[in-house]
Amino acid sequence: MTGLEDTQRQRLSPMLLVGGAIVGLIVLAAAVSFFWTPWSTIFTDVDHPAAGPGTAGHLLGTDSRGRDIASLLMAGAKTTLYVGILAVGIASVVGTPLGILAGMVRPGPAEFIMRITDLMLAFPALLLALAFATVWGSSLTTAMTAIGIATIPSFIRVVRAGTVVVMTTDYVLAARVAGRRRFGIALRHVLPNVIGLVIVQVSVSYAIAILAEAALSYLGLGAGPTTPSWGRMLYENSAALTYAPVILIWPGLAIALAVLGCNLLGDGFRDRLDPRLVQR
Amino acid sequence: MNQSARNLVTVEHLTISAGRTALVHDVSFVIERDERLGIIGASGSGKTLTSMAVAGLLPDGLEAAGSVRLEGVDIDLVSGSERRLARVRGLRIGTVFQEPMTALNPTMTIGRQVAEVMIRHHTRTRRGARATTLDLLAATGLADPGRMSKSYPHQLSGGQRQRVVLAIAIANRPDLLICDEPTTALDVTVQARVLELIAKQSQEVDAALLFVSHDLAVVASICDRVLVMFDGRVVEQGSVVDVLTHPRHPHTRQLLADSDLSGVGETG
Amino acid sequence: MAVRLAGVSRQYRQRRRSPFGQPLIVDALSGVTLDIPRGARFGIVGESGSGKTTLMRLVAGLDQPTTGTVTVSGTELTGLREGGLAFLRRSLQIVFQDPMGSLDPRMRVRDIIAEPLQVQGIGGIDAAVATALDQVGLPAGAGRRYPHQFSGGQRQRISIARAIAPAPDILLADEAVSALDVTVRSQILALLESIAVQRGLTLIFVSHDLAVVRRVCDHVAVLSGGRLVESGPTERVYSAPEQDYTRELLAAVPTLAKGLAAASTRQAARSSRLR
Repeated sequence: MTGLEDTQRQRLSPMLLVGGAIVGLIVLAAAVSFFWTPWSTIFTDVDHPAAGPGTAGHLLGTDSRGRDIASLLMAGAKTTLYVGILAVGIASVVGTPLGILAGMVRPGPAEFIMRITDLMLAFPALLLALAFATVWGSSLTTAMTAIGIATIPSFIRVVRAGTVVVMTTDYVLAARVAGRRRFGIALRHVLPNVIGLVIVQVSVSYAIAILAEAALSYLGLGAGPTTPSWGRMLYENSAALTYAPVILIWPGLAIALAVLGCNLLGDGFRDRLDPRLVQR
Repeated sequence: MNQSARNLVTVEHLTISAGRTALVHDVSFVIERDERLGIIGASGSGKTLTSMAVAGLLPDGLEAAGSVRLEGVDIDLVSGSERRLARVRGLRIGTVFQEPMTALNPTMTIGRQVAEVMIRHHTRTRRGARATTLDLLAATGLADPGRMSKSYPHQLSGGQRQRVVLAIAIANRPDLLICDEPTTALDVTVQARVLELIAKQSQEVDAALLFVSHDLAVVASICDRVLVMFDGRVVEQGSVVDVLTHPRHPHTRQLLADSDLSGVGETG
Repeated sequence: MAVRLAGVSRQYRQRRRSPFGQPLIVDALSGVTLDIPRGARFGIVGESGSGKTTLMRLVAGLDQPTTGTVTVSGTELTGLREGGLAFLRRSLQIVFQDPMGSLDPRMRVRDIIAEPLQVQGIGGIDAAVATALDQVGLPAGAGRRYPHQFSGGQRQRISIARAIAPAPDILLADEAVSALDVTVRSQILALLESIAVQRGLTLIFVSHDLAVVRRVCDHVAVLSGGRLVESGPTERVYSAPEQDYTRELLAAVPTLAKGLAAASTRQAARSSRLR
C-alpha cells in the first residue's frame, strides 16, 4: 500500500507473541514462588532421591539429593530474572550512552574511549567477579555486577558502530541546520535509530548472563547454596548424568527456553519499533 | 539473410510478478546481432527487471512467465537452472550495473577479479588470463595496467571502477553486453568518456548492446533502436530517431518534455 | 548581498597512513571569492571533488574556513559558535540530495517538518506544518505517516516542506534532484522555482548537472579542483564560456539534440552499408 491512507494498528507479530508468552511464564513462575511452591526448596525427600517424574507427589521428580525439581525451577526463575535485569541493566544503561558519546565526539576523544573499552574487553569477566567477591564478599549481586561491568564494552562497541552510521546521514545534517544541539541530536535522532541494535545486544547478553551465573554459582562465587538457580541445579546434579539424566533435562530446558524467549522478544521488539517494518 | 538467424535475443510474452502484482507485463522484443537496443522509462517502469531477466539474473521471490532465448543456448533464461545460467552469464552475456563499487569484491585485487571470469569459464589458462587482463585494462583506457591490476577497488575512482567492471564484462567476448544505468553515478565528463568506451568496446568484441537508462539523451547518443516502457509494458518501440522525433505514445511525449529542460519558461 | 565569500580556503587533514608519516593536507577549496545577491537563483556547478559540497557546508555554517571569511545576510560567520549561529539557523535551510537519507526513518513526517520550528521555539507549529505540506502539494494527512511510505519524489517534497516551514531567506539545494527520474525531476524543479519566486527567496542550487542549473538559475559559478573557474549570468556562461574547463564541461553534457544527430548519422551509415 503506497497510498496516503492513515496507518492502521498492527497485529502483534508471532515472534513477539511467542517470546512474550515464554518470558511471561517465567515471570509468573517467579512471582508465584514468592508465596508458594509445591514443596519447600530446602526440604530434602531422603526416601526418594533422584526420583522420576510423578513419584511420591513430585511433579517433575526430585534431584540427586531429593529436592523437588518443580519447586526449584520456580524459585530459580527469580534468580534468572534478577541476574538478567541486574547484569544486562548495568551493561546497557552504562554502555549505550557511552557508545553514543564515542560515536559523536571528535576522533581523538573517541579513540580514547575505544581504547579503554578494549582494555576492559581484555580483562576476563571471571577475574573481575573473583576480585569483587574478595572485596565485597561472594553473593549473587556482586557476581552479576561484575558480569554487568564486563559486558559494558560490547554495548559500547555495537552502539558506537550504529551511531557513526547515523551521524553520517543527511537527516542529522538537517537537524544541525535546524539548530539542534548535540544532546538533542543524540536523543531525538541517534538513540531511536540505534535502539534496535541495543535490543538485540540485550537479548544476546541476557543469555550469556544466565550461563555466567550458572558457572559462577558452581565456583561458589554466585548464589549461596540456599538460593535456588537453574545453573546451580545443572552443576550440583552433573554426577547424575550417568544414572538419572532426566534430572538435568529440566533446568537445561528452562535455560534454553529462557534464552529463546528473550531472543524472540528482543527481535520482536526491534521489528515493532522500526516503522519501516511495522506499517506496510 | 534469414531474419531469425539475425536475432540474438528473443523475448516472448515476458511477465514478471511479485505475488499478485505484475511488475512486467507481456513484454516481447528481439535484439539482433550487433544491434544496440535501448530501454527507457521512469523508475518502476520495469526496465531494470526486464534487463535482469535477459541476463538470467531475476531476483529470488519473483515469478516469471514467458521466455527469453539467447541464440545458441538450449535453455530458457527465464526458467533455466541456476547452474546452467551461471555457464551463460559472464561467458555469452556481460553486465555493467549502475553502482561500480558494489559490483566489485573489495577484498580482491582488480587483476584477480578480471582474470577470474576467464578462468571460471575456461576461456583462458591461468597464465593466459593474467596476460589478457593487462590487455583488457589497457583497452578500457586505464593507465598503467600493471599497477592497476594490483590495486583494490577502494583505491580507484568511480570512473575507473566502472572501466574495470566493463573489462570484466567483455573479457570473454560476449555476444551481448547489458548495461543498466552504467553512468548515472558518474560525473558528466567521466560519463561522456565511459559511454564512448562502452560503444567502442561493444563494437570491438562484436557484442550486441542492451542499454537501460532513464536519460533519453544518453540512450540517443549510443543506441540504434529503443523500447519505451511504462508501468511494466512496452508502450512504444522503433528506431531512436523515429521514436524521439515523432513520439506516438503520450508517455513518450511526456518523457521527452520532461527531459528537455531548456525550453521551459521562467516559473515553469 | 545574501552571501559573500572573500578569499575562502578550506584545508582538510587526511588521516595519517602510519603514526610516523606526515599528515596529508588536502585543499578542498582555495581562494574562492564570490557574491550571491539577495533574491538570486544562483547555481554552483562542479564535478565530484570540485569543492562544491565544502562550499555549501561553509555557507550553512556547518564548517569553518581555514582562511577567508563567509558572510551571510551581513553577518560574518567566522569564529561564531553554535549559539551565535542562531540567526543562520532561522534564515537558511537546506534541501538535500538523497530523499531517503535526509529524513529520519523513525520520525513521522509531521515531526520531521516541525523539527526546525520546534528547535527554534517558533510557535504555531501545527498551522506552519499544514501550510508547508499544502505548499509542496502533499495532503494534510501525510503528516501522520513515515518517510518510507512515500515515493522518492514525495519524499523530496517533504524535505522541501521542512526547509520552507521556518520561512528562511536563503534556500540551499544540494543536488536536490539528482536522485530523481526525469518526470519527477521536472516537477520538483518547477516546485522549487515557484517557491523561490513566491517567497522571494535566495536559492543557491548546488549541482553537477549543468542542464538542471541552466533551467533554474539566473547566475552560475563553475568550480573545479577547489577553485572558482568562472561565474556570471547563466546565459552568458552557457553561450559564451570564457574558460576551457567550462567549455569541456558543457561539451560533455549529453543532450537530446546531440544524441539524435549522432543516431541519424549512424542510421544513415547503416542503411548505406546494407545497400
